Amino acid sequence: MLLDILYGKYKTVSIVGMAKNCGKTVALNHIINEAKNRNLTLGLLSAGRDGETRDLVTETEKPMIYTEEGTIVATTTELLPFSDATVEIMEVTDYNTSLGEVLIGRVVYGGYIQIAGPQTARGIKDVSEKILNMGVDMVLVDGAIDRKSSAAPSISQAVILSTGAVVNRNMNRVIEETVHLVNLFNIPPVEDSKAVGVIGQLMDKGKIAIVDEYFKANILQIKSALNSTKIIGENINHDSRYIVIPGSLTSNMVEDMLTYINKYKQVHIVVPDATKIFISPEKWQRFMKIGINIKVINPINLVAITLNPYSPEGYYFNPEKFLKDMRNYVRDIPVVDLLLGGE
Amino acid sequence: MDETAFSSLDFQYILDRIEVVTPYGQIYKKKMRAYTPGEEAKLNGELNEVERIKFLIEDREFLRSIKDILESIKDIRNSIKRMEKGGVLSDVELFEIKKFLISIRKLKSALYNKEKTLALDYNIKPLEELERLLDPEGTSLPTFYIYDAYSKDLKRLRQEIRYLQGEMNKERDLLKKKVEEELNLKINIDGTLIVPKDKKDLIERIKSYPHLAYLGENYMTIKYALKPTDKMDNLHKQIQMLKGREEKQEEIIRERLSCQIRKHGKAIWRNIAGIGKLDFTMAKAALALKLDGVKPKIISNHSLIIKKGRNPIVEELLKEKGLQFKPISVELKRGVTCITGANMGGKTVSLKLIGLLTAMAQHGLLVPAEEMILGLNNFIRTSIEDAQSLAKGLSAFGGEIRAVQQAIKISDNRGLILIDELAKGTNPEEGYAISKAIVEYLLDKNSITVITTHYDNVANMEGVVHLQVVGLSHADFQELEKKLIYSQKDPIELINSYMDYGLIEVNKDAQVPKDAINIARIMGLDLEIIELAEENLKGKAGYSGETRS
Repeated sequence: MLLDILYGKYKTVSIVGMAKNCGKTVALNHIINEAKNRNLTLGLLSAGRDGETRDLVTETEKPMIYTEEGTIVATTTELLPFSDATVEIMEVTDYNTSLGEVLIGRVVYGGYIQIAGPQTARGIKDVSEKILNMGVDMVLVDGAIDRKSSAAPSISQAVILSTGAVVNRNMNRVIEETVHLVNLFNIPPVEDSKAVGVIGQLMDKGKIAIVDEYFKANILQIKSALNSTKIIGENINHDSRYIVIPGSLTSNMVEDMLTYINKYKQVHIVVPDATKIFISPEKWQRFMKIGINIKVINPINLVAITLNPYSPEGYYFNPEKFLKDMRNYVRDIPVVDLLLGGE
Repeated sequence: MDETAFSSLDFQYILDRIEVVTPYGQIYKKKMRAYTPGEEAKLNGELNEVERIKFLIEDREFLRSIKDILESIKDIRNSIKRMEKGGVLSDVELFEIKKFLISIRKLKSALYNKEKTLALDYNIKPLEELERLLDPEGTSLPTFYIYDAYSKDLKRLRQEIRYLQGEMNKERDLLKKKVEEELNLKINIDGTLIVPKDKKDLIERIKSYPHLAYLGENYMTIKYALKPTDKMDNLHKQIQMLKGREEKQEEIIRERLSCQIRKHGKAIWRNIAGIGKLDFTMAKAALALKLDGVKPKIISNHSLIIKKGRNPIVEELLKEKGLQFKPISVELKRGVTCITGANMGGKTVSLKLIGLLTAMAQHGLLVPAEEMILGLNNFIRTSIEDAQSLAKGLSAFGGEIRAVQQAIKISDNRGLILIDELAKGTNPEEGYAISKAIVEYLLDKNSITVITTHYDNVANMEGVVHLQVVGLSHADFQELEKKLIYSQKDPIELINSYMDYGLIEVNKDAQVPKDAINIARIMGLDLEIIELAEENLKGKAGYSGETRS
């Protein structure tokens, strides 16, 4: 079901959850099983799990993943001895975790293994490329749950989002928040290639800046945009085109800039990617109505949404209704409940 | 070289530019020390080697090939030490050792044909027996796991497990199909089934159905899972048992491998040392290449000759501004040499250059000069005022006296003593008296002493060699001033570009050059003051006469 959406189109796919227990691992295992049935070789890594083998909130054991022969996996030097699979070590990388260095290996005899990976976007990208070069058909990245630290979406060619009852006891609220995230993932990227070049460089250096219509950057001498929105606002003028925010963008920041931006409708706020935006659905609607322009540098390609109608806290939604309603609101992206069975 | 000399000569700058890439090269760098009298032959051997490698690495491709290999070498010392004490190596450690062995082989072949040029034996010897041990299937790949080839038992166990797992999967698929057919529904990929509670008939049927087990329920649905058949239970038990045996087998093999590697412990250490030494010597050669260094000639006689020496630190600073360093030549013997010259005339630069190049040579480094001839020193002591001595809270004079006293204490032990602006921090009369006394005392001591001073009469003492910085004396001041008016340059930079740091030996009647007023004029001191100063100089010619004994 999911593999059809992915195979042949994307080489790197990451799976991210809206919260813990959204069924991210179910989705991962689902794709692994489908790949096995089609004799595809997968690469598996996880985005910065950083050694928490136990989920501290729910006290559930982090899942080991069954890997087939030939799969290329990323794990760590300290997790490897606990692996049930026999793994041929291919490379020990320089990326460190609290459970040793990240290593890449090939599964010689299938079995369960705990996958791991680097924490930074650059590291994840680097390790996925290494795995791809070792000759796999597709790399799956088990993305972090926490959006703040999730670098995986922006470096993968495709993203699968897992959402579920655990997000909120109110089903409509879950749908609303999911739709909101889908909207954020759909924020268009900056198109102008000259602007992309200039802004990309500023972001790499972590510089808050205002770029004018001639692509000249006015770098503002402030460390964090969080408390300095006034300075940003005061520097906007008729020539300004882009406000470059290399870090997080919150509702308060946009509110603070409103009075300035209102004067200059041509100005776009640019963030690295949608995972850096922390604005509630209500506020987002309001900003869009006023006509605030927000763009990203790295677009996120959301290709599927998986649902888990059950929450480990004991409540649940009617699976059929949950699926039907979600599909009503998210029309252009496939929505599936992997446990409910296919249609 | 003590801490004061180390910091005032900026020796750290040189150390930072010796860029070793392996953890083993780092050890050699840390152990780096100065060679002292009696070790001339050893130092010569090392300098020759650095020169040879410098010649080799002028071939960029060769340098790159060696560096690529060195950069991939990780620190395996902890694993080796643990193993030597009887520890069993983990798969990751065995992998790292295998990679180390491969690196040794690559290094050996990269050095092939070059070894005749190298005098030192780096003991880089491939350990083929160990390589074969860690590559039992002869794949030559830099990867590792406990290969099937290590033990027939292990291979049999693994194949049996694989077979049983296959049987297990078949059995599960059969069961799944059977249940799906019998109940006319679809089982999830993970073997579970979720049934809405309103399908009462189905639930009733499952209650008595032998192949589904109840997992849990909520208000709306019940969750079931496939119930393993007896055959599946048996298979599962067998697989678990075999897995246990597989693990034991693997551990036995790890022990065996560790034991065999242990026998080669010494050879591994020799290779580690060889890599460290090669890395370190190459880093020194690379520095020499960067600084355009030459091999100093080491002689037994205690003397010091530098021809067209350059101070690499000042040179780099000037280069950034597009300026060139004017090389300095100097010949020094046992006894006292005084350097005199105008302010900004680079007396201190000369002094530091003498100390730095000497320290570099004695540490086995090539020196930035056209030629250097050196008789080794037992020590280098400096009294050069710098930011650090000021930070320690000593007054300029106090610090100076302390440094000078430390040098004087060991002045008969064949060393190099460098003193900048002796006693300048005190009143001229007493300063002169102290300076003169120190020079008198050091004149017949077993050290080479270089002192920069403003006092003519110290430099002109009997037995003291007097060197003068050429300074601006050759410069056309009118032209300089014109330039100043028309160019946007900072006057300090302009003066620097006209400044000749060269030293010339003058006879003992020579006057200390008087460039200070000229420089003050260029720097823009009020003309009225300049004129007054010139008047004063004429009228007060007697001032220096007073102190001229």
